[in-house]
Amino acid sequence: MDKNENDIFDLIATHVADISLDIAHGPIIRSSMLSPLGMDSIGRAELIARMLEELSLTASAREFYKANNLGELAALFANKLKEQ
Amino acid sequence: MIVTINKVGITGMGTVSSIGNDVSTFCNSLRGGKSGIKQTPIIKEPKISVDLAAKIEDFSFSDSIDRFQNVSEEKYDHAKRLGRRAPFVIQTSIISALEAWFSARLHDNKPLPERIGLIVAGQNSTQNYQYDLISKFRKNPEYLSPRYALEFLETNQIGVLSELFGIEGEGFAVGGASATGNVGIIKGYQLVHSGLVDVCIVTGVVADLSPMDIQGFINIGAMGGKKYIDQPEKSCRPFDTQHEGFIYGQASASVILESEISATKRGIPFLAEVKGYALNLDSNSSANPNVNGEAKAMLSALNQAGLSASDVDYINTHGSSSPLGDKTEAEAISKVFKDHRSDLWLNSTKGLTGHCLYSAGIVETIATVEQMRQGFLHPNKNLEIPICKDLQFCGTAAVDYQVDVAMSNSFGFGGINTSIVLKRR
Repeated sequence: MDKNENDIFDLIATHVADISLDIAHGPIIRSSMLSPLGMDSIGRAELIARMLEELSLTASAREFYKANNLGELAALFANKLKEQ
Repeated sequence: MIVTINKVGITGMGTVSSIGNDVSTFCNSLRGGKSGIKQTPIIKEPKISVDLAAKIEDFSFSDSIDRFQNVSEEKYDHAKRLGRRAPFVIQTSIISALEAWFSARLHDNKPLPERIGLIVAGQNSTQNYQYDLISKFRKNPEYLSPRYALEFLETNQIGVLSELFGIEGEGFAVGGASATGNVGIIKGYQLVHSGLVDVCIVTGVVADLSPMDIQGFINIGAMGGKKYIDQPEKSCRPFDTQHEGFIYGQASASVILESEISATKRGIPFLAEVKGYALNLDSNSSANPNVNGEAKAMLSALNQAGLSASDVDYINTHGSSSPLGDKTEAEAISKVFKDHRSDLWLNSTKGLTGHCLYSAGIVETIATVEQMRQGFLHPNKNLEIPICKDLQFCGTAAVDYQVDVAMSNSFGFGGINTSIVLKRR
């Protein structure tokens, strides 16, 4: 079944919880930004690599760096998924 | 001669191994002659031809780290965060280093960060980690975790351990093939003895070999395990006429080296003093050992310690169960110790732990120190018919014996010979 933007956000949230260096991070919502969740630049890159693999996407990780929060990141992945 | 005003000793030890995930359990296994060598199921394709190894089984980082929670909540949380998703070789290093750190009571009272050094004894320790990622990389290079760039480097160990312990003195990784552990202790000794640091952690890393590495050791004729394929515990037979090569073992092991001045100031006793050491090369690119090179290492270590051959009570041999290696070491011991050769005791820890490669020298230093402290010598597990009659090998059961001066040998491919001399405190 194709994944919609909400499914993709849920996947992102799961990976953020796993990757985050801050074990006791706060709630993960669409407006969340990565730094307050304990995600450094390596964590961000890891999140994107995991999502590319999970969604079987062929794309450069750099295309996803422009997202300002997790909701925007989910939208970028959803658009890329539609394109492919 | 070593200048005696800055004596260097061991003030803390820690290990994660196939025969015990702390020093106390490891020591009990030594006394009981417990072998960690088992048949290990081969699940990766293509299958390799030997499946015997002394692996660290059922290791859980979160369970292992829980025992440090009461010692220091802050250090516990930090270690948990650093190790939570780290590769196996990092997790085991964290646990062995934490045990050593706490046993030296560095959590209570430690020198300034710039007076603490760190040496990671390990080379090519991420081979299996890399091997496992190849299929993902072939599928799509973009899927490779960016953490790979940190984690495939040996220096990741330096970064993680220095952050955990707040170390700001000198730190680097050393390699010396099967002598890597001893090379690490020697370099740590030099840092402390020269006054560059007061305390140095030396951590030997797990050799997490890939199937390709293991097959390489089989193909070069260094690894045994075919003769006793159905009797794994009998496969590692240092100095026995039926030896056929080393059996792969896994362990991380850490020691804290400290100057006597620093240890006295902190009120921490030496577990043993490092009296002397030697590291010399054979100028040989191959795998064959050399009697003269090994003898030179033992003699130089004794000279540096200011001791004579007759002062040595016991040698923890390199004893890898390699026919040529065992024969060469036996000849080198006879050459150095002459008439005293039949009075000093010999055993090989590898008969129980397998050959832990990069960490072997540190595992065996811990074994030597524990035997000195507890007053026993561990068995030579499978030594039924020794390859020579003029050396005094420990039997197949532990014996009570008080060792005051011990030597620990490690020799590696590429003609790397090392020996260290330890004195009981």
